[in-house]
Amino acid sequence: MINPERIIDSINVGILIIDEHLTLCYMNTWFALHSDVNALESEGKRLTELFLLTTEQISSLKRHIKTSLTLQTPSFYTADSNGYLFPLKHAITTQSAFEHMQQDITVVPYDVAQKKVTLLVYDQTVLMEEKNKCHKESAELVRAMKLANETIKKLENAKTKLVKQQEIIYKQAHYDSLTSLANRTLLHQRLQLLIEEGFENSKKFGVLFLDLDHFKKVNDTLGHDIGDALLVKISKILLSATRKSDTVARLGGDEFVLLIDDIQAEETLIRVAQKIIDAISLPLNINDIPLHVTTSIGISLFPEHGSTYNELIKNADTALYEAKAAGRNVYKLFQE
Amino acid sequence: MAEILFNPTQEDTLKELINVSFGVAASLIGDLLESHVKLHIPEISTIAIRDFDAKTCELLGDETEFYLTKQRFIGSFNGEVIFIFSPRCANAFCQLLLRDEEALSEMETKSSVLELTNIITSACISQLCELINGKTVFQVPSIERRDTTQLERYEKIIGYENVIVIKTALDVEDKNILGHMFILLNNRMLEHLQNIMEEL
Repeated sequence: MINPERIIDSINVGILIIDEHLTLCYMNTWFALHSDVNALESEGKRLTELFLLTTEQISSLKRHIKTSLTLQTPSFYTADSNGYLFPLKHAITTQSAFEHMQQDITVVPYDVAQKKVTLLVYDQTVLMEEKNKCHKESAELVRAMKLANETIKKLENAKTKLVKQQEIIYKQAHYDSLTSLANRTLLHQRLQLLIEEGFENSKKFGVLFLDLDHFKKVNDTLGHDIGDALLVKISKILLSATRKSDTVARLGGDEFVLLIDDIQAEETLIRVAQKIIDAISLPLNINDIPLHVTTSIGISLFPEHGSTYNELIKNADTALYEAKAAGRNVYKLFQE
Repeated sequence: MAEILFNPTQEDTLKELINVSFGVAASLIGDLLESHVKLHIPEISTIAIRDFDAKTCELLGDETEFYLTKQRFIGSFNGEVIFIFSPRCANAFCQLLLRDEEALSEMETKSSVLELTNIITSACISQLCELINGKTVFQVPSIERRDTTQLERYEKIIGYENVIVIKTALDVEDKNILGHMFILLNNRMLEHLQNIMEEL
């Protein structure tokens, strides 16, 4: 035979039997021990005499009793949304976030006719401590993630700034500030690259060295502003007369060098040179001032006229000198 | 998204049964609120469990935050009941239950919503359980506040294939409190319920 009373007094759950007026009919050992109340002496007393319950707690308990008795099903209090109903001691011996035991309470019909219910009280303090800890850790994690995201954003901004600054520095180091054409440094790099490729793939390319005829006169008579505007205009003409793969560089003053890549024969270079001479000799309008300028061009060809930067530039310059000597507004191919 | 789980006859029977159980629940809620309460069901539909999140978003419309309660029932009739309420409706019910017009705490709101859902769940599931001569034990319910924009963060529901979605409207005084009840059933329980509905 089983002894229900022994079981009821040894299980780890608080058991109370009360009526709808909250009069205590029974209290098991577990509940008595946790509440410091004498079970036998308490029978017949109201819960409000035994425990400090707020008006809201009393109303809530009565509602649960009514629900349970009316529907004849359990009604639940949860530690999660109620904390506790009875101010009981909890079993935690370390420092706890809770003053009282956190309780899940199930209100079960006991005797519907006599309007009595059983209250099953479960200690959920450990679980709630863990939940609190999880919430705290989760909140800390959210804070840490927020901080990390902010730091990443700052680093990304710094990186973007750095990349922009690098671009500016690169541009300043490799491009002409007036015309935005390649400068001497970039010209050197590109020409060096063409020489290496030329040797590797037996490719030909040409160097066109040009300057404007009597450009000094423009500066002296119309001023440097007009001179500079003219140089910008000439840069645009040169760019439109060449392919995207070609290099147009300004060495300084009115001196320009063009690298015409991947050509089959010198005729191609002659055609480009003539095209440039024709385009520049057309009437120009600079800041509402009509101008007529011409250019002379010296041409050297890789590998026939040199296989180094210095040789190719020097020979193109020599050819330019020849063009000047020949009366200007012409091109000359380097002659040994 | 809708999935037809019941034929028209079965659906009519189900609606009738739910109406009866909601009547019982309404009477009890009215007693607790000391007010006349009308609990009606504007809509019942059925969906597959995979559409649960999408249905939640659809029902909540523009609102992203919501309260979700869960309560399992186990035994020869088993499954789970989920309720969702917008914070506005949850707070409105809490104010009615606690007779307090002030802004209430999160714990008070959660506790009130659980009281409401416990009543509706008990009334409804007990009715269905009785119908199939089954036995069921209710587990402790839980409640949490969720956000539809972060649904992927929450644990996925497993063990069920079918959902009966019941839109519930609680008319108390001048307030209309809308909630959505989801009864989650596996295929075996659904089949059992379908057979019983057919016999009635």
